[in-house]
Amino acid sequence: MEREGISAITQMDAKSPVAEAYRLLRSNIQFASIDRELRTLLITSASPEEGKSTTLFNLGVVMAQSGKKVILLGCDLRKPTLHRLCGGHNRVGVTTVLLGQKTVDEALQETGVPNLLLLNSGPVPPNPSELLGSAGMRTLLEQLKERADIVLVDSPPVVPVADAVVLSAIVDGVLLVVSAGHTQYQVAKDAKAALDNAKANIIGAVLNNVPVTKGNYYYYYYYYSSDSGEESSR
Amino acid sequence: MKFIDLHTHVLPGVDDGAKDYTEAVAMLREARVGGIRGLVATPHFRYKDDWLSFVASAQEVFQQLTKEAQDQGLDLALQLGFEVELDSGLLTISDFSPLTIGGRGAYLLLELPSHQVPPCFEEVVFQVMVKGVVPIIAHPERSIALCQRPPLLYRLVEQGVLLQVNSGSLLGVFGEEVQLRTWSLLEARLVHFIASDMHHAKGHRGSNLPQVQRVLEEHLPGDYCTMLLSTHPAAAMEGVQIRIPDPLPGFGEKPGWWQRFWRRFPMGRR
Repeated sequence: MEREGISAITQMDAKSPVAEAYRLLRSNIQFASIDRELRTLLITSASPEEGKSTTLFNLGVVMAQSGKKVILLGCDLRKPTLHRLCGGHNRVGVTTVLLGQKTVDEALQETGVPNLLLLNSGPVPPNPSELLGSAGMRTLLEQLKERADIVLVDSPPVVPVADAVVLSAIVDGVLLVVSAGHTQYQVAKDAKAALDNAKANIIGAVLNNVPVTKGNYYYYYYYYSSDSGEESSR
Repeated sequence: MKFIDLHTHVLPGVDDGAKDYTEAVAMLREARVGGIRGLVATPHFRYKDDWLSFVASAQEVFQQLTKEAQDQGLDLALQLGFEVELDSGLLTISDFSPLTIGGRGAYLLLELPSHQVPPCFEEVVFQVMVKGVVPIIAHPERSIALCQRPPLLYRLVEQGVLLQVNSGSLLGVFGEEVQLRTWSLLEARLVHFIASDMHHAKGHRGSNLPQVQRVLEEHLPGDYCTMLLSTHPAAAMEGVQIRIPDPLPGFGEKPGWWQRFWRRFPMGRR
């Protein structure tokens, strides 16, 4: 199944407050990597549907826009979604490479955004955690690092399955996406504890789905960041 | 409509389908008269260590059948495929191409036992897909165990597995329960092909796609019917990508009162 992909909000309207927020995220991540080089970054969340993949995709776009070579790596082997966001397909990917059916270069897909490549999850395996914890997975990450400045790794949520924790041990850093008004307090704490137990390097959290109402910070941000008169007078 | 039949047992003497070339040609003629323009012979395949020799013998029979059909002047595109029975032995196969439809290495017809989803099922599906082959599950409506797990069905379709239901199931040949399940699958857009699975020239397991088209079009959008009976199977024969409709929720959910009512009084559905 080939998908058109949804345009990233960061692509459609680079001046929007949302795009601005993603750029801020990019700059904060760059700042966090001053002490310790961040070449592989896992983006995950405590529970499902908090916006992991959307955050990952948009972050990938703003990073690519800044001239970095970025690879989006689909490691949610249970519910692959990246091809829906950035277009492409899921016929080849991590699983096909790990099983030796395709080479990394054969499996990498263009996304339509310059400098942004996709290595999707591939066909859904019956044993995702084992594959992600395999030696082949480490080799794959190394191969990808040779081909990009940064690898953004998508994964299932932390709490229901072990996959994200397994991955957190082999990446340079972890970014936790938390959805305002959705993530339960205890679940978020459990997720952090599970990652800490695995000695993951949590570089920070993204607060997602913050309601934008008139008069709050985001509104003013919009106001000031907009340089066309008609938009700001709306 | 140019009907394409993806699942038939016309290959003579290799399974419980056609007995001999005479019956096989009669089946092909029946199909052609019914408006079928392309047909895949899919004999049952059960894994054994020297499976390649079985494939080779089936290929010989297929060549002969193609020749007979030409001699009879039947204007029908024929291809060979197999209805592969799910077996853990399949995990030892490194190249599925000889078993795929038309040997193109694109689509593989896979059959599940009716009362169990074997433990090796998902592993086999994965091994097939990882080699770039799309599995088509034959008559899921007859696999009770599979239909009792709607989340698994939705997940399979999400992953790119395709489903083929039998025209006979739709017409009630396998009983009312199977018939209702088939309609529920269709209403949820979980079906991608309708094929005859014909075993004989005449009778309830013969060629009946045109008959099915009339019933289908009363209840489902016309473009979906065309996909099921013509465009999708044609694409499978050519070995090209298929763009499937997004499934709708609702399969396997307990019917509401009005659905129960509708099922009781199906208004010309049977």
